[in-house]
Amino acid sequence: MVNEEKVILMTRMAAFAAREGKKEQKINQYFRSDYVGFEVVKSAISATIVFVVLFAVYAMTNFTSLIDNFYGASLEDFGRQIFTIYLIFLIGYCVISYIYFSFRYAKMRDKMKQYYNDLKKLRKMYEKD
Amino acid sequence: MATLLELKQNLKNFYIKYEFYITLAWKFLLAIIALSMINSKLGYQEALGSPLIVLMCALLCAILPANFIVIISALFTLTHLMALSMETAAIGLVLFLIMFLLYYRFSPRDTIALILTPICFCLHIPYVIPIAFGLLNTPAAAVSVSFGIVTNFYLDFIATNAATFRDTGVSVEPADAASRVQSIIEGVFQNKAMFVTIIVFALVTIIVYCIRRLSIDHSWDIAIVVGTVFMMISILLGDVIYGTGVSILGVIFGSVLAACIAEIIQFFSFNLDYKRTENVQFEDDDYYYYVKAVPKVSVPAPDRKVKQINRAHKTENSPEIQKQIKKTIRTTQSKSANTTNVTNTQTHADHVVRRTPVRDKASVSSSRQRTIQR
Repeated sequence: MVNEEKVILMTRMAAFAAREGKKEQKINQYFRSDYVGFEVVKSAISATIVFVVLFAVYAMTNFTSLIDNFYGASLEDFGRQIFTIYLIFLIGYCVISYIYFSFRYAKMRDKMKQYYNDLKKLRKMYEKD
Repeated sequence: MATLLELKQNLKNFYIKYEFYITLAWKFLLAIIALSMINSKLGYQEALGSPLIVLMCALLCAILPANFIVIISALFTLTHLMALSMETAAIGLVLFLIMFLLYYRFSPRDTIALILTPICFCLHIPYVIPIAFGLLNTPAAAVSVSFGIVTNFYLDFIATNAATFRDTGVSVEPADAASRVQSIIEGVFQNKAMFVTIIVFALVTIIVYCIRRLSIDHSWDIAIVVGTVFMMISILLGDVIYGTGVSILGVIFGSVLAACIAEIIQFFSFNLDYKRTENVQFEDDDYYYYVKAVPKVSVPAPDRKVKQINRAHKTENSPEIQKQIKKTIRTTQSKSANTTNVTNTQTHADHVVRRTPVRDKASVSSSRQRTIQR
């Protein structure tokens, strides 16, 4: 006779494995610090590219005022100003990334725990049978 | 209502049966609409206007993941802009880079908003977007919707001022190019209508999401009504304060239409019968549980079976016919014993017609949805 509880459990597990399971399994291969760190590095690279592009557009549109600033103030001051803005942008974006990917990892762990618990339950059911 | 629910059930069954082909079809259709819209709005690169190319790209999009529609659309847009002038293409590229690098790393599923928002603007139903995304997505969708609005306003600005930015073939001085870029940025990013739309749409998405998540009866309906009213008032208020130049009648009718479409979306995505909602309480060693069990509405699709018994030279009262009728009635009654209603039982010497509602496995197994609140 069909064990209804077992069928429900297996259906749930199969659905998870087929949909989210693949992605979650990939994340699960890493330790939390490795995964979050790697994602933050990728975010830092993205933020740097975007900053460079935005700065290029700004420089293009405000070319004359930029040249005036360049000659008016010292090169060091100008560089420091740009670098400060870049750092604020980079740190802000990396912090957001850190929070998001930490949360993502925790969520993944919860789902995987649930999945492993279901596996245990299933094994017990088979042992009973 | 029963007919509509029946229709919903039939559609659901149909979707489950042909999910693979339906997914291919909707991706194909969305790609066709998006690419045709880009071609009609911009259309500076004539080679891309060819229906064959559009068809081939749409077919490619149908096979590949949904995000590929966004990439193909972005490439189409950039190619058209490049044909117009390098400055417009450069700004377009910067916009897409910011979107893809900064936001879509976190939420790649939301990219579809980037396509749907300009399409809805094009179809003159933009107010559907924030309500629909609030109902079906998370508050983070507000960011995607905002990107979609920026893209739409940018393309609109370029389309209306194409003559100003068109390359004439004469080499452009760097200073001229810089002033062009400046005028594009000013034209797009100093547009008050765009900022009012972004703020209102983002707020509506969040409000609709928050209300529909509440544990109250008819939360989805309330979310739609509140979202629509808030959107109407905010856009009109934005017009009064910043002079965005929107049509008052357009806003009112557009919002009402958006609410109607949202109701349709709500009907097909979520429908609960509040009359049989149960509130129960129980406890275990650690907790007290207050459970609200909300049953799903499931209407059995009628499976009409017509059985015809020919007279075949036998009289109405012949024992064979009587036996056959009794047998048919017995079988159909035993089949419909577990169902809720049996309708239209018609017995006749010539015809025996029975309508037996048959529940499918899915509707039986998922007849109850339990929401457990600790």
